[in-house]
Amino acid sequence: MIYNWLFFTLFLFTFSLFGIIYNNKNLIITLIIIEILLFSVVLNFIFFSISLNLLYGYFYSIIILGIAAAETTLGLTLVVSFFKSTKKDLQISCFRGTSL
Amino acid sequence: MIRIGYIIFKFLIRFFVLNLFFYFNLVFFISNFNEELTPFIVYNYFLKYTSIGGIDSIFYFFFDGIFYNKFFEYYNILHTYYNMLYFLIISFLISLVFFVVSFFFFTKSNKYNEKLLPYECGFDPFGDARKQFDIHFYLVAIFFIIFDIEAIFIFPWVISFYQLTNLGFFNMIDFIVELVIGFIYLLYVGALDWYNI
Repeated sequence: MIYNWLFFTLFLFTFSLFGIIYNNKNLIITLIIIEILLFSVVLNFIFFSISLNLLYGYFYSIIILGIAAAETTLGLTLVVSFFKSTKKDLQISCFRGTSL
Repeated sequence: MIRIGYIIFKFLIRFFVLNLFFYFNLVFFISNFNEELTPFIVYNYFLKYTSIGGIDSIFYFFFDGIFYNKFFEYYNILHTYYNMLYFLIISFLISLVFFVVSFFFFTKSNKYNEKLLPYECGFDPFGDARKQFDIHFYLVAIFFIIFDIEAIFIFPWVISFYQLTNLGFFNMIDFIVELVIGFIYLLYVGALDWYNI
């Protein structure tokens, strides 16, 4: 039954949402959490394409994975370039800004 | 002000997520045995238990039998969820009792410096549990992500290899060649030199 799988993706999505809100340590954890969030969306696409016997979900999930990889590499290059310029750890949170 | 807004936003998110959980419970539970009724149930749920259908609609949860008529017939499935409500109330009361009673029985804890150490009778602790690792590993992480996703793109290409035309074949070859060109450029720039970040 697809509903059991949807509970799993809902669990992943909501807990990664809480992680984005409560995390105030650094950018790497936020990037990992965004990856989990996109992964839950991808799993939703795949489960629906399984239950509906359609292939579009698979294609779209591959596209989302590529975009997620691009986004994560952008974030990591931001961290590396920040370290190059200031030689400091980047502490950032979504709602409180940076603490340099 | 930003702090207060942050707290309010946090509680709003919590409220909506809890609503989402109850909503999915209800809809999936009912749609297991009756699939024709699910749109009506979704509509009635929003009408009754969220603030979309009205401001004071949350109070209907406690007066379920009173508003019974034919249009609201399917609300009475929620009688099974009263057990959950009782469970929540009773667990809250039990935890409250534990919390209050512990104030009458506590003794002053005997804390001294050696008792608070992680190893009471071993070697002295050294360093911190949270170890900072080098930023050079992030570069390795970037390359890992890029080529990991490349492998993910290659897998469906390989599986449907028999049915591909020349266009599909050379599309993937082009993709790989462009990635290799980018990788050679990165090596030329010196992104993977360990001490030259």
